Amino acid sequence: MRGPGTPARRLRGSVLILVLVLISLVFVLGIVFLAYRATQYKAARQSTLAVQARQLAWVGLEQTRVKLMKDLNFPLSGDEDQLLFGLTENVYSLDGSDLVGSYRVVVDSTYSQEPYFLIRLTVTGLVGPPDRPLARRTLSAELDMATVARTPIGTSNPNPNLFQFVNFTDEGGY
Amino acid sequence: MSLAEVLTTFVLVSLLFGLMAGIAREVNSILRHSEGSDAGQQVVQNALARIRAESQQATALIAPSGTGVVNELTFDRIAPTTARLPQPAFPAPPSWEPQAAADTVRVRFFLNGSELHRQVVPGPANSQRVASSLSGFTARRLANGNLELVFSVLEENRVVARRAEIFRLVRTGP
Repeated sequence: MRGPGTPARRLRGSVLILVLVLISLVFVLGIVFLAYRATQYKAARQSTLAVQARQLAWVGLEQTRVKLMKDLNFPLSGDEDQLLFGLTENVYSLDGSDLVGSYRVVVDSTYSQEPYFLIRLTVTGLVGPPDRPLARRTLSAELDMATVARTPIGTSNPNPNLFQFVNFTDEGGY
Repeated sequence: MSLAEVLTTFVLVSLLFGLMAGIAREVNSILRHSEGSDAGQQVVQNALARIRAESQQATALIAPSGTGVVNELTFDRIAPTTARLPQPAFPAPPSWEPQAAADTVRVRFFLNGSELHRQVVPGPANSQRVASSLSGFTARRLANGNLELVFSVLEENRVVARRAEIFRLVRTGP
């Protein structure tokens, strides 16, 4: 019979330490692998949100264009010196329960008079809560508002590009 | 520790190491495969993001001119630095065109070896590299007026074609 503290008992203890080291190694490898994958999933999700933000901005552009076409009272007439008009609209899921995001529109009428007849729109699509967006994208476009064709000068022909976008810029986002 | 205990421990530790090595080999194989695929997709994503942002500004699509497939993408767009909209807006010029030729630049994307290049006229004489490691690039005008781009990229020793449709917001020109 060997008592406690003999060499054999110390050897059994060393096996336990070896097993613990192996388990720790496997655990650390697993954590590293999962962290690596988590970063990839996060990047993929941000990419999806960025696409959603761009789509929201598209919606804002098209909605505003249609409003300008169909609604004579849009943008609301205020002081004649007021050249900028802004609005924000929230977008909900199909059942109306969840807020998907929103878009902010700025209608700039600085160049709406002769000879320009141009309205500039700047739309920012926001995914998630408007005060803490998960992704955002800003698009700018110019809308042709001339009812009569510009060329030849003095013509009375209708403008084929009336209410069409004549210039567009993707201002970027995240 | 008896001989039987030593042998059993040795066999168990060997089995554990073998198992871990097998798992590590499989994981490494999967990671290498997915990383090759990710790298290929990243090349396409970068090139696509760049081309999409700029080609959506196109006021006139030069190539492809018809519905045929071509190996380049050429279009006109309004130069971002131009003073076409003077500030202040008034006094205004006697006449004004929203897409005057003097305000536009011609942008061309083409494949040079395995690199996608961008050339602007008027602009620097040398073209600018947009993406590398591509094995093909084609453009086609779709019946709905949109643009179809196909990128071919080498992934894991095989050529993979990736297709993207680009919505054209400005449709006033050809």
